[in-house]
Amino acid sequence: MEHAPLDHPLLVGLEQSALGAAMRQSLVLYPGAEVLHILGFALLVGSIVGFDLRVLGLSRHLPVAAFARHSVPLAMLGFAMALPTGLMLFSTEATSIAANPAFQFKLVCIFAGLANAALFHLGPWRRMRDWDSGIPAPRAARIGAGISLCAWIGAICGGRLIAYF
Amino acid sequence: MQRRHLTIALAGLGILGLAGLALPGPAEAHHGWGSYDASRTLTLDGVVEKVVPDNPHAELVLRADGRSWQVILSPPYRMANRGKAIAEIKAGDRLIAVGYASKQHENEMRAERITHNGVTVELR
Repeated sequence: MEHAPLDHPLLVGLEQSALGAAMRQSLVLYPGAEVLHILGFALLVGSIVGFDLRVLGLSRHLPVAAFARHSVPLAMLGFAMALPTGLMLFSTEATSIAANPAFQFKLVCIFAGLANAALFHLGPWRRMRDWDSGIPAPRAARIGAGISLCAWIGAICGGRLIAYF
Repeated sequence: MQRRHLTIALAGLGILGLAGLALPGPAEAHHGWGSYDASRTLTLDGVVEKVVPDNPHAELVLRADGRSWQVILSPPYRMANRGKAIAEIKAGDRLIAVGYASKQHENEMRAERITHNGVTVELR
């Protein structure tokens, strides 16, 4: 273990919980959680990337409001799968994973992605029908889509690299 | 103008992806085979001092050559799948581990295969 573990009581508690113990000791829980975590974030990031590229101008003939109604629930479902399974994986070594710089980078990316999505809902989302199809998205929407792409792809890179730092 | 933004976005994506690949990967953790010196095969014949049967990688401490080696195994499920459940290995058992020394941590090795009670299992 290279980085000094963070011995915050919450992290210690999670690691020593029945969940953490079960995740470490069960033959199938860990790989099972990994599979569901990957399915979840594939759905999450896949749906988001499709939508972001549409906002950036790819396939501009597709009505953006309908596209959003299709993509956003899928992204939410993916997030709902990835979050609890991620917490399960985290519980195995919570104190050392929390200290891992790749994991910290991943967390920052996730929060940036979520905050960006919230801002998008408050702003460009409300006037989406004004640029529904065939019209370039407003600048704010395109910037948001760019941030979103970077944040979610960064989250995947950070997550995959936890094992190497 | 639109097309330019898209091009920039796609280029950015590509750069991010490449940066992800190029990051100084095997620096710290004992995962992956890159941080082990595969040019020199190490054979440790010794006595198990301790077994850590946990996900994501089982480990054991092996007393060999007058030193206590931390031996990184595979995920427990793989070990069971290949015919040597980690639960079969106990402190005090004789065990032979063939693998590679860590480039970063002294007395740490990643096992390519282990032999225990006459059974040899490949761990990679």
